[in-house]
Amino acid sequence: MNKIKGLIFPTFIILGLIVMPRVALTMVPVDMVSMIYAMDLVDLDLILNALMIFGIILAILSALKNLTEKWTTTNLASGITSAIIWFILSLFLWGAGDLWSFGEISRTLNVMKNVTASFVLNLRFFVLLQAGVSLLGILNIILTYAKARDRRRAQPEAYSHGAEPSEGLESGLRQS
Amino acid sequence: MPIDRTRALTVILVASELTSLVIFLTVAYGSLNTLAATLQGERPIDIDMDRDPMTGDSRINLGINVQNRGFYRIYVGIHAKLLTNFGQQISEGIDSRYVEPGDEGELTLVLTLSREDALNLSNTRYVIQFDFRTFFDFVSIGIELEGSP
Repeated sequence: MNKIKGLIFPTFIILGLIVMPRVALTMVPVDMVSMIYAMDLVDLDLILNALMIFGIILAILSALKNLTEKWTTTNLASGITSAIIWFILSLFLWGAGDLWSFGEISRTLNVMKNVTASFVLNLRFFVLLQAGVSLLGILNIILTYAKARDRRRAQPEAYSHGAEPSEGLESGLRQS
Repeated sequence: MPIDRTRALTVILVASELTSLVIFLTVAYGSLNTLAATLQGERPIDIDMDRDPMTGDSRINLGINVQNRGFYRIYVGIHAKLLTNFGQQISEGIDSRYVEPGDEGELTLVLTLSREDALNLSNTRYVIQFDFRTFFDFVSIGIELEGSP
């Protein structure tokens, strides 16, 4: 359990996913924003609202993960849920607001009278890469949980006083 | 000393995250740089039409000079078609090539038209497909323009 991490990480998540995108949008020239709205390329309101919802959920999960002991099921569940939600967020962003496109963005525009332009941007490689990283992250969370749980089972009295498991404590107990 | 599995996995995780970020940034920067260099180059798109005075047949020559200013080899392709208003194909041209980083390559295609089709050009439709691939063909952009003259 780390109270400092439990405060700092959720703050960073809220800053990065809720505050910064809204501040960044105010810095973009108004003409460009109105052009994006007019061309219907990206639904900016949808993306900002989704980022806010994802940000709140991820901040709560991060606080839960960092404020609980590594051997608790709450820590395990919040860690795995957090990794899954980060992956869903990446799917949402790689699809420019469309979760089910799996990184393939396609749009059709009327560029001039009698001229239609359609484009397809294929970013599925990054989605696959992200999926791999998320799976590795979940595996890491499970291994960390299993290791912490085994340590706790080996020395239940050390944890009953609220002490953190450490190599020094273990060797001390072994010697005594 | 045994290797701590969780620590090793954490290192792999951080390395994978950083690698994917670097790949994305280099692909995005390289693609935008290539697009800007191609459009700002000298005569990026060249279109001319010539007519055979004997037969009356016409040839539309289209040339695009692509400059790869990215970090990875790119694939560029163009496929142009002229169609009647009923969707029947009149003429077709296709060209593609790989361009190494720092290099430039020219895509050229020729659309041949009979005398009758050339006179009736206002009643035709065109479809131009651009294909751009980079990072070992894993990332791609396809653009299709469809319209009538």
